[in-house]
Amino acid sequence: MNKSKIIFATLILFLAVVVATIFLMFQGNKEENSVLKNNKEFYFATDADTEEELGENVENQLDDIDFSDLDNILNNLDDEKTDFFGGNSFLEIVTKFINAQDSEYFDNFLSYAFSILFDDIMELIPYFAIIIALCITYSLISQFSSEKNKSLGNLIYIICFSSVAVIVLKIVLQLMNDVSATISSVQSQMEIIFPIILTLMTAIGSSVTASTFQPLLAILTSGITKLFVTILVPIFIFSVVFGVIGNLSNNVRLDKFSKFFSSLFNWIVGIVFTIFIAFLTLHGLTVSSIDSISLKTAKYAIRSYVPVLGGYLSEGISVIIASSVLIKNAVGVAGLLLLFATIFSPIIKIVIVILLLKLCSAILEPLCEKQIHEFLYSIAKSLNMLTVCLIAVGLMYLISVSLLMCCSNIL
Amino acid sequence: MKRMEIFKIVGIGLLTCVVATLIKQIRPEFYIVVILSGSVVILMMIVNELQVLFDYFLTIFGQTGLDYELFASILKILGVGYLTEFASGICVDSGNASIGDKIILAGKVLIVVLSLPIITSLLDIIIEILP
Amino acid sequence: MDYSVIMKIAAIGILTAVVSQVLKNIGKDEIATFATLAGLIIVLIMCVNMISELFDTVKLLFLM
Repeated sequence: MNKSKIIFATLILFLAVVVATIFLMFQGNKEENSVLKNNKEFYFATDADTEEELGENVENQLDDIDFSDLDNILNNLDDEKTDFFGGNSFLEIVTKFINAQDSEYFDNFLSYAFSILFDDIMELIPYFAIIIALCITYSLISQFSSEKNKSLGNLIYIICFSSVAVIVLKIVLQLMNDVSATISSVQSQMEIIFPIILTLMTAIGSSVTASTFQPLLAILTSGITKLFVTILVPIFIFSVVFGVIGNLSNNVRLDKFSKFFSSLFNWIVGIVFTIFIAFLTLHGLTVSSIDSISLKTAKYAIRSYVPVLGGYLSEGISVIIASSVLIKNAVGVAGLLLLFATIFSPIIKIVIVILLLKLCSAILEPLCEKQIHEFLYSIAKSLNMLTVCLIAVGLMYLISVSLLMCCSNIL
Repeated sequence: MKRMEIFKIVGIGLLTCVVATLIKQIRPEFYIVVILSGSVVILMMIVNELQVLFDYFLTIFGQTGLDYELFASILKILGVGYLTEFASGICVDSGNASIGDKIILAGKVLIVVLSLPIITSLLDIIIEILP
Repeated sequence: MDYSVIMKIAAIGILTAVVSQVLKNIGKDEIATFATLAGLIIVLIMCVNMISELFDTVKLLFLM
């Protein structure tokens, strides 16, 4: 009798415990909405309990990361770009990406692109109108065809050419300053985001990947951007100056010099780009498997060798790692969005200037002397170099961040 | 063009040539004056059309709000250049090429002086671009 | 139109030539020279008027 009583009592106790846990679980469901401190809401496609735990983990980790520098960069962008971001701080952007609510950025993109395009064109057209007017007036009036008056005609040509060159060089100077500012802004973005992502990767457990990537990324941020700013931009400047001098008079021909500079530029950019990307991809792809295997080994070991709670512990590790992976990817994508917003506007501006210069050159070709439209065309070709600078830096950054995001999704 | 000025201009030009050749035979002193007056008449007819063109350019610049100082100085320089060439051509026609050369020299000096601001700003910009 | 000026100048030139020829035939060479000179001066004055008008217009046109 006693034995059965004891068994019955333990059974009832056990049932009570089970009922209490179930009851508490449902309580937990209702409170899920108020777990959110700081109005951050995380919705994941799992059941309520895991969702709550994941949300807490994500919040805790996000609190630890310092996004203030990135917020500074974000606030220093122009107004149009802040509209593109909807006036959010970096933290809010990351949160939106975690929740897959990022569609508003893609919707804003078209209006952003059109507004930039339109504003730039309207700003630049007066300059080109002046250039065309100058050249037409010059070709109308300066009909110095007799032999003795050639020197007079040359003098007037030089003056007309100088005034056109002044206008064009003003525009080119502004573009160059824009590009230098953009490259340094991208560099500071890289300097901030790469440590964040690398730290998150180490927290996940892919420390080997992180340590492999780190020297390459350090080379990218400091070495390569410095290379671009100190060597490639001066090459562009020389190309422009030789374009001006070479077209100033009929006798001094500097075509081959300009061609030399542009091929030098192309070779340098090509070699740096190829080597960097090759190293990055090869290392990244081979190394990430190591970390994946070591994580799986660790989880298996915990599950097998820790007596009671092994299963719970290893799944708990998975949850923590999942939250870190989410944050890492969201930070990566948000960083790329910031990069895109920074780079897009200067590139569009340069492309518009290139197209307008070529259009002017085409308009003036039947009207004027050969060298005026040759000059405009050669400046347009030199501006290609600036575009390549920006695009190369942006691409290298993009590929590095994408590799970082993909290579360490080790779950 | 609403009125076909080109016929009038061609007519006047040919008329001037004929008259000048005639007068050269009769009274060589009047030859220069005939040529001069013929050129002036043709120029006066063109000036009105040029005025239309330049007004159009200036309105564009006025609308865009850019300072058209550059364009104005270029216009002056072009004017000086053309007048110099005009006068020198007439001198050569009348056989006094040396005076024409002096006029051209004077014109060149004036053009260089007028163009100093432009050259200065070009050099400034190039210096600013270079690191 | 302005083109009548050329005809006027040509007319004055021919007139001067005729007058001076007649005077030479009469025998008064100096008066012939003076007549030629007078014709030249008249024509020059007309020309100078035209040139000054041209220069004024060019000044306006080229913003000098």
